[in-house]
Amino acid sequence: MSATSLSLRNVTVSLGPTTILENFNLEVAAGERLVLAGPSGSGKSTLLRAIAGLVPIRAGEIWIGDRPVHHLPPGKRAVGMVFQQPALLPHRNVLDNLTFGLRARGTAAGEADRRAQDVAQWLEITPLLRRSPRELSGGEQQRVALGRALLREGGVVLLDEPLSQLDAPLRARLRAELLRVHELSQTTMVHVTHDQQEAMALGDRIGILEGGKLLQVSTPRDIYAQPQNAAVARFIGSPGINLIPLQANGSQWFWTDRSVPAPSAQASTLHMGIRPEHLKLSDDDNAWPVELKRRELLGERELWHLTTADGLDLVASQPASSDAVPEVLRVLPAFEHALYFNVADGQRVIA
Amino acid sequence: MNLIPIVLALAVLVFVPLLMTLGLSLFAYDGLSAPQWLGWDAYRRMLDDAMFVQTLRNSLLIAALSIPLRLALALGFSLLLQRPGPASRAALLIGLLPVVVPALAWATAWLWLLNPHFGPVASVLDAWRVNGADWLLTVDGARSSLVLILGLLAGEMLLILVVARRQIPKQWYELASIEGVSRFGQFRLISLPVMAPIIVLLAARDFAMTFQTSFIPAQIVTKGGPQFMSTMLPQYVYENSFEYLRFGYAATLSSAMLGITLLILLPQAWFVWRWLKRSDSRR
Repeated sequence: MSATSLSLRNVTVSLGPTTILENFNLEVAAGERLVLAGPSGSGKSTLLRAIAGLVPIRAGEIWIGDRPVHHLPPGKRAVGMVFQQPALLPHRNVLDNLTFGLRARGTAAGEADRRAQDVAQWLEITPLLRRSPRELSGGEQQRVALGRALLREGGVVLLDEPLSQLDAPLRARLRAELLRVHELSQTTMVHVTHDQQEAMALGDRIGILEGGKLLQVSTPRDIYAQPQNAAVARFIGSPGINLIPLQANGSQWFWTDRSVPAPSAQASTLHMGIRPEHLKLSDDDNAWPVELKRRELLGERELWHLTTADGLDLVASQPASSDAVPEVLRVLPAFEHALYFNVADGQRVIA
Repeated sequence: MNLIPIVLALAVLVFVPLLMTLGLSLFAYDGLSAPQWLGWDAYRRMLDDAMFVQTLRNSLLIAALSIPLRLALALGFSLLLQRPGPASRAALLIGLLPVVVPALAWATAWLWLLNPHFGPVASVLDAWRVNGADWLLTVDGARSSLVLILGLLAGEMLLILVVARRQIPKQWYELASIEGVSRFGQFRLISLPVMAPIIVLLAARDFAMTFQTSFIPAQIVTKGGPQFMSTMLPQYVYENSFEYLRFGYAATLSSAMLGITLLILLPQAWFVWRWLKRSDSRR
């Protein structure tokens, strides 16, 4: 199966009077697995629906491979789609559910069945082909839905929160399956999710969306370590990054009366981002006194939910231990890992 | 138990009259002298009665034309009205009106519409160079008028089908359109099979009711004419019992009507039963 690239150029989408996406640009390479992640209402589902042709675009262009498709009806765009719900036709068996699209586009029955059987093999659903969708578990149904989307020849597979209806262990298994099937099929996939873990696990690249804007597109590692924006830093990582407000005093930066080695910036306030694993318990005189509100055991590690004297909530991630909590608790950020963001626009400030 | 009054009411109002009718169907009875035992001869005589054969044929013909017309109207409009909104509500209301007004009023309205002297249908037909005034005096005219009058009683069916159509998940249609399935293909692939059991159920119900619903329009609008060519079987039952005082024969005809209804319903009931069983095993 040959892969195709996808390109969105200055795409604007409105639903009624509301503009959801404005001048949106995105390039997805052939065979790439791009995950678009963002909170609900960020416009990520609308984006997928616009690519599929289910919502019209008001301006811009959508290209699939070397074809502009934005003026074509959904059926002529060569996209396959997987929704949150498997949406299998209940009165047709699994094989028919896989092939009805191929058949509608004029593929002969024998050929359609043969191709469906290949895809069924990838997805390990061959024994289910004669079954009714009603007899399938949620995970099996979603695999059939994925198979149907993969049978769309020479196109792009769009996945709209395909795993969000499944329980956690099944979700983890299907993530692995998705990676395996992508490897086998080499199709271009655009996967939308609100789950940052899913994004980290599945993306060749991740795009973070908020308010209809693409904040950053990069590799998962890069997005985690080098977020270009406070919103990106907040979205990726669980538990979330600590954002600590800093005040300028002359050329020095302070949190309350503690000096912080932040880079110089054209502003009087900054946010310092510290991941929970970079907030360490410390005996240092410069360390910040905090109060322990709650410990949350995760297994190997535990989270300490802390609060400072002026009411700032912090989370520190510690190796789990049964040691007694010291009477006077102090933490010190590992400043070498600190990220700094403009308060006004959330943009990263680099030294 | 609280069910007792209901069971009693059913017994008094339905089962006792039913059994009495079945019993009476084997007698000749004029309501004045004592009933005379005929046995199966009553049914043999019925089969030899040309009027019975003619009115049964009329009834079945009108049902076979008006019920599919009603279904087609209801199904077609249910697809057009799938999007909720003021237009769809207004159309539903218009569709429902003929069903909720008394059958007598509906038939009387048609009596005016079809009036040979000042009815609008007559003038339209005249404009087409068909003799509009004679419309109800022709066999085809009288019969097609009845088909139309009965077929347009589609509002309730429409309401049910609109609801059924709106229950089908939108994503099925979206997926089908992404897969390149045409609008008609979507109807064939999704709407029709999902709605089929409901359509069959409605058709079955209307066939079961057809001997009742056809009575009033035929009595009011065509009076069974011309030459008994639009006389419905229930009209013939009515005439036998209340005009000719042949209560026994009327009971024979009624019992035959019941048997024919059951015969028509049998395959439909089988379909519905199979569908229920299948949706049962899915759970």
